[in-house]
Amino acid sequence: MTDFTLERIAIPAHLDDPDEADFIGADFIGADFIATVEVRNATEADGYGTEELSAPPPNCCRSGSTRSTNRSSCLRLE
Amino acid sequence: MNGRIVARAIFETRPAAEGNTAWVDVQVHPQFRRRGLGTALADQLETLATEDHRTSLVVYAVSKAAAGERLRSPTGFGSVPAGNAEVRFLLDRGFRLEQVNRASRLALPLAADIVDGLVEQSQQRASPDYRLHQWSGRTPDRWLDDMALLFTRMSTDAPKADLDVPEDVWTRQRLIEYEDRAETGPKTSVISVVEHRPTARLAGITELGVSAEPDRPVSQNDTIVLKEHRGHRLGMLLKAANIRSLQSTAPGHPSIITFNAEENQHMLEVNEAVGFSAIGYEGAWKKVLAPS
Repeated sequence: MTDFTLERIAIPAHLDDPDEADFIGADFIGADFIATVEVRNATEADGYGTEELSAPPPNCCRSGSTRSTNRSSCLRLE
Repeated sequence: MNGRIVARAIFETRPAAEGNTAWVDVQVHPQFRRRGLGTALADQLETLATEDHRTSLVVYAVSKAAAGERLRSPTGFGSVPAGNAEVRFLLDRGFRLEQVNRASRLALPLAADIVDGLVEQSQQRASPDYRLHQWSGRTPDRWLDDMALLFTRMSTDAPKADLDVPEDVWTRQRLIEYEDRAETGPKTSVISVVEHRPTARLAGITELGVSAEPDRPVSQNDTIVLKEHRGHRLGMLLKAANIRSLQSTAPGHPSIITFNAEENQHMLEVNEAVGFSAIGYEGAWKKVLAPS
């Protein structure tokens, strides 16, 4: 039985940018995006067995993301 | 699920003129797996890719160590456990393993005598034609064009297996705009470059991404030595000198984390000589989509 919903959101440029509220709802202050980063961090910790690969949410914003687009995470391939 | 975000998918593309690949990712919180979330998100991503006229999907998936049969990379370097859930999931959805990447960790601080020794040894091996420069933050104006070239070469010269990585062209203006944004971002770059003195052009670079919080690991970003300048131990010189710079300008971080293609044997040998050790592996997978 399906007991979940899917929702599309964009990656904000900054967590403190009020203009970013438009795409996700009037009460957006980054909470939903932060929650997605927490999912990322939980899966990375599970996969690598260390929390050193966790990234704070600002690092995963557009302004904090990496130059390369060839790895969809907050870290990148050397 | 019940008001909580428990899974996410990422869809990332470049302008269509730069190819038809979409980089995707599906991550389900470990406590909420085996409920169809990954399948639902993957279906959404493939629909989105088709609507966007993308013809290939690339995904990087962590593979935990496990005993048993291995699925080998077609590059001839590295493998992933064939029985892992993410491996079976991706194979069932028509993805092919293209490359294996190694995540490595260097514990900090690196003893001063070790890092000094590595710098000295590599300087002795390098010709006097090469000179080291270092800075943090913005690129000095005199090096903007050369840095743009080095970043462009990262997209063409790094091992990319059959992953459809397009050339990512950097210009002086793009770099300036990137650094404008980075100045308000959460990390500072610590950079070492080598100049080829006869031509007064840069031959190589390495970059560390440093968080303001000293308890966070440092991320190893780009490292490249242009093909025409390889064989002079410049990669080791850059790495060792940059670690020394990091420890001088931003001490206290616990480690440096880096990712390398398993077939990038030269870079891995440099990293191992510095003291990096493997902490995990991930597969780079590709699926070719039927044109819409």
